[in-house]
Amino acid sequence: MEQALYQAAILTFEELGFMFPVERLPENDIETDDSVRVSVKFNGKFSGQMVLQIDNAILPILASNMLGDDEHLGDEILFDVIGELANVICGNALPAIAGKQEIFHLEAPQLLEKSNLTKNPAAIARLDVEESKADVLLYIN
Amino acid sequence: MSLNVLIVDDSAAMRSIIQKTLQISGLEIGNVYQAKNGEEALEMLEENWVDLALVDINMPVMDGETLINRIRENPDLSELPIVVVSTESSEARIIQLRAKDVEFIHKPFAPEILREAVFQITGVEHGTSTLSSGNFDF
Repeated sequence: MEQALYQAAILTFEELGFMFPVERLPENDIETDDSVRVSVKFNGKFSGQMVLQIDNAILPILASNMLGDDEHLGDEILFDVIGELANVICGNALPAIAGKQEIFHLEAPQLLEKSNLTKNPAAIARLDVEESKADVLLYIN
Repeated sequence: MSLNVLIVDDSAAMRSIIQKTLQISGLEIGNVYQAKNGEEALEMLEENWVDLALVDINMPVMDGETLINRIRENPDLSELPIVVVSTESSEARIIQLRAKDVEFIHKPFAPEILREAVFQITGVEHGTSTLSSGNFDF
């Protein structure tokens, strides 16, 4: 399950964001509040949510890579960028976990407050993206 | 002759990425219209001449599959070339969608994958903007 998360996340960052993340060891985690989270709820063979948590510092760079330097990078477009990344990671990870014949319905991405982030995900992919962090957390109901 | 394109996706970021990818694809692109759901797309198709639609599936208000069905049922639009651009990975769903006479590409996509799909469904030859006969009714 964790491997599927890593593969989906790395592929998405590479092909959508033109960034090349590497796996990060848990012992290298540094707690910081300077991050943004989006959640994609899903249902199908199993239901739950996938959360993408990403350092604020990397978000404008990621958005610029995806959209081009000429785009105005307001809050709305930054949310849209991280939401689309989460949506694509989730859409790729779930069939890799459940099997290619399974059909999942994904809801629109939602911003998530850190206080609403519960502990003990079923799987987590920790990534270093350039000098920032991006984590993908999978929760199954 | 340039292609008028309609991009239908609820993500503004993805619409922008698709538009930029098309613009560097070597195709001659004319007007680019954007819609954030199927309902908006149908309104744009009523008001504008469109040669190619790139359609996401999972969207609010009206999803992409409903949009494709509505297009195929409409005698004025039924032969519109459509490329589905979706995160959908279920093989069963992809087979269902392909049965609606669409090309399918999976997000995330490399630019050349999108370009190939557009070439494939429009019949435009590589490296030219000449449309092959029989695919379009200009």
